[in-house]
Amino acid sequence: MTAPSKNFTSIADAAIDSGSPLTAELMTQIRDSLVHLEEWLGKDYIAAQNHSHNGIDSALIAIGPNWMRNGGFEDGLSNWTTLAYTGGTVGITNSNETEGIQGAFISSTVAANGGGYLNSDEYIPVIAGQVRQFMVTVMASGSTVPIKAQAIWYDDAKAQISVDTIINITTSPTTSRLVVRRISSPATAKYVRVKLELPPGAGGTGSVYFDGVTVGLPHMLGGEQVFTGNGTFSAVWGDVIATVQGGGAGCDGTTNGGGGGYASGPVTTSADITVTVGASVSNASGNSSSFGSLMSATGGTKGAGTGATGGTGTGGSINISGSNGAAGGASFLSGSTPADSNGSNYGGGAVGGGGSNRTGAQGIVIVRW
Amino acid sequence: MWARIEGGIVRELTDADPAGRFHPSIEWLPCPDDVAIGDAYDIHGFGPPPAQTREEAKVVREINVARIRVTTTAGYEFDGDEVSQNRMARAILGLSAAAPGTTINWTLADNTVIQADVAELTEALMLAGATQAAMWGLPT
Repeated sequence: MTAPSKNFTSIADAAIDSGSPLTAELMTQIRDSLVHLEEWLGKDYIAAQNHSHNGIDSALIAIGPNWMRNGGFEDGLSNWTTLAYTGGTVGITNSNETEGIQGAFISSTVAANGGGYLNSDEYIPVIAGQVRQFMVTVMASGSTVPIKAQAIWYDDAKAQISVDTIINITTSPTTSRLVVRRISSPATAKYVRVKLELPPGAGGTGSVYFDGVTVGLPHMLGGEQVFTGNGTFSAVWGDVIATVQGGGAGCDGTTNGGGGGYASGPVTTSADITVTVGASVSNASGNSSSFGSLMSATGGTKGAGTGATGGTGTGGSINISGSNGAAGGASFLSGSTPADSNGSNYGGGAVGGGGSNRTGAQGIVIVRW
Repeated sequence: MWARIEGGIVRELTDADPAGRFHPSIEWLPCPDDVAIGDAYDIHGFGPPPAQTREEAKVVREINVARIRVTTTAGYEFDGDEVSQNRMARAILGLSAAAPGTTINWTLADNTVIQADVAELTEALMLAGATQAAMWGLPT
């Protein structure tokens, strides 16, 4: 940039005391310093008496990965338009928040009417056809109070195109759950807004609580949970990637065990998920592993030679059968098993031949989000 | 109790209701408590395990033959599988043509080595052959 055309001069106190003359040099220094300051501020700067925040002279800009302004309700209901249905209430809670010190609540006293909704005011720009990630924490005062959250898509004229469900449940959690959804925007979408609702006509009365609403680029959150025994997955609801390995079959001295099946891929949950892990077995077919009803992998079977078939995977975007026992009882997560030995790693089938019972390896379930 | 059926055979049992716990493509059926893994299932319900097929029996026989071990009166345990029987037959043939009392190094089932003569090998071969013959019959 071009340097200011005049220099700034620091005028000494002695030059402006009561006995000092008004010299041309002093006046020039004062003028040049003003020119210097004007040019330093910017030659095109238009002065205004008050610095306004009217959205024109200056405006807030979104920074950081969350494009949803006040998604955490720390500024109350700013940036949200609310409507309470008859008998309902929409407001701010500081006793059932998940992040910060405030969250939003919607209450209903008439189930048929529902409670109301909050609509985010800002039209968040999106690129048509690309995936955007929506997150919100939800909970309810009772398990029958329904919860609904939606992504509403708009075209370039800000006319509504369509609606996608972030979550829509009538059996709700009474402790906070993080909902994570990755949704493709419609082909003509230019903007998106978020609607949070206690909908009418479904379930009981009470309150639902929302907090931590975010909209951003899709990304994994870095979470992983490994199940080597039965359990429940409740870390997040929504889009997760599950991997399910069935257990390998055991065998006796003259039979073999097939490897367990394998399935892996993205699935969408809207509740806590019961996880079943196929336990290791001796001299029997392998046990199935499962991620609820969304994805399963059966255990291998015990049998003679190639009759010891591998288990199968279902529900994944990748479904792989275990190998048969005659081929070594391998699963996707194990190598083949030599004769007269137990199954290896996870899902490996045992192979007989030595006269003794052998044990198939257990299954495993891994969830990432 | 519930049974997972695959190919008409009970492959797995659980005492926890499988509803909602498994992918819908996996078939679970309620079953009596006395049903065991390996039992058969058809339109008539659950039944005892199906008889072994001839092909399955042949595979089992092959495995069993490969595991034959025999012990001679001298207390030596020999591998008696078909490959070992072939080796013994060749050694007996060769030793028979040699001077009486000639022996050969022979590795036993426990990997120890003895000096075996014709009589020792012949006894082991006969025992192995008899064992194999006893297991050769198959269901028709």
